[in-house]
Amino acid sequence: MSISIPGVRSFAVVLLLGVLASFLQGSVLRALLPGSAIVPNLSVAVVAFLAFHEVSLLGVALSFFLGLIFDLSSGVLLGPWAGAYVVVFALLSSLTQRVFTDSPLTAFIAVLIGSLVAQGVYLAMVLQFRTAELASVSSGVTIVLEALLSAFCAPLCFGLLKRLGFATSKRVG
Amino acid sequence: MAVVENRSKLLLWSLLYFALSLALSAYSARNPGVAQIGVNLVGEVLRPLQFIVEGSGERVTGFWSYYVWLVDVRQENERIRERVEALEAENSRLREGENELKRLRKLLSAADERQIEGIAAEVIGYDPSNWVRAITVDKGTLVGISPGMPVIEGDAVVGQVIAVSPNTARVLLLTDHSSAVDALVQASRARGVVHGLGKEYSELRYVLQEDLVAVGDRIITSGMDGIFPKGLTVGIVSETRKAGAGMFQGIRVDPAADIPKLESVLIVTEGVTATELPVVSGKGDAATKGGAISGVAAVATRTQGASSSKPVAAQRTEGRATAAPPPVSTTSSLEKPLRSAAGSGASASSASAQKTVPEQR
Repeated sequence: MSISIPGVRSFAVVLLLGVLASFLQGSVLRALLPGSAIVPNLSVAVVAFLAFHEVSLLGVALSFFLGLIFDLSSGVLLGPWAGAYVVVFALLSSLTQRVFTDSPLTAFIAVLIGSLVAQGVYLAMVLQFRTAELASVSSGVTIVLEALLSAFCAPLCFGLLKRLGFATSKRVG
Repeated sequence: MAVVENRSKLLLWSLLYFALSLALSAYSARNPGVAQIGVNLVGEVLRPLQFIVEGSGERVTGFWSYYVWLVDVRQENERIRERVEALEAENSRLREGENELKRLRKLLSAADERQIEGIAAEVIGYDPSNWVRAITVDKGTLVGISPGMPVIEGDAVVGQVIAVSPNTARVLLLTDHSSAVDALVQASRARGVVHGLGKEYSELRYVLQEDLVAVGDRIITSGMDGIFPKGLTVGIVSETRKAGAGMFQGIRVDPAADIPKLESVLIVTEGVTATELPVVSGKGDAATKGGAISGVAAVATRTQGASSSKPVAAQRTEGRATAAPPPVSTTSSLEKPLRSAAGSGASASSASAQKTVPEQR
């Protein structure tokens, strides 16, 4: 089965979603929530969705560029989130062959795992190239809270993405 | 077999993209301007949307609060509902204008008191990542903003400009992991460096165990880093901790600026550096942000706030044990170092200051 939106168009749509997610996280959610609150990472949900429904070279490329957009919005380094999202995509896509992917619970667990892995890879890459003092306890709390919040938003994100036209699954093989 | 080959191909491409991301990270670590180009581009693109969100957030909340919950009343009395909506919208606009006027007056009065010149800016966004504490403001190079300029709210330190585009600027907050401000305790004149921790509070480091620091003491900028004008309030001491064997004590500092609720800030373009420390009556009050300064003993000279590398001449009115650390500018280890010249310049000023003050040990 092939994805309902042609490759180039889906590429543009997903990139636009990435920009929208960054905007939502940086402006709308910050305006609605107290300034110091942790906000969910909506891009991870998009990457998890791609791992479920676009297990192909296009999916890998989309994950990479989604991460790159997040790096551009953050401005620290160019590349850590891109690498993190590629790792998440590779991990989740290897598991989706064995699980029922249309369940909200599956989406929750997948995004929870994906967010934890993404933040771990991101921090590892940032600490590799930049010296930064990150208190271990507070970092752990931030990682877990962000993962939980992102996971709670996952079923909603998956539903919206399906409505946008990513309706059928394309699997390798 | 085809499945295995395709999965291998997918894995190979994943590895290639990951290697590409590593290469990009290494390159942007050596060339921070590369990442900033993208940030500026995204900032310029999203700026109009951010304006809309920030400007109408309260109106939407007010509309929701005062309209939707009155649906039953509206159904029962349509005319009264319409009148209430019009009046509340007008009330909301006027109230918002009054709040903005108060904020701007507060910004300008503190700046006037210290003869600080700056540009007022509105906060239009926060960093989307939970790992970087930074804000975006709606002023940029077109009005003269440049990287390295200090950012304050009234009398309180907010952070430092780290990147600019024509119409926006990115400000690294005091509470970020990579933020460091050279400061001193107002009451005891103990010197230290306020480090951000990525939390709501910061930490004052390198204060000797024998220095007197108490809860409620006001922490102010020392002016020795050549970035922040001297005497600005960094925060209030909320906790002190003296370890048994260590050289320094641990001091927790709550920022004076209400960082989660920042709406307007002042970007300092020119600041006054006093040639003698101001005389302050009493300790800092946690309830007030302005310092109770009874007078400045010497004539103040005007200096460029963030762009000058001229050493700051500092004279101390009392001798002190000179075990204080070298002055540190607010540089971000996650961002491009901006003030290496200021660091060396401030070090030179520290050396010259030490020459004029008899060392007491």
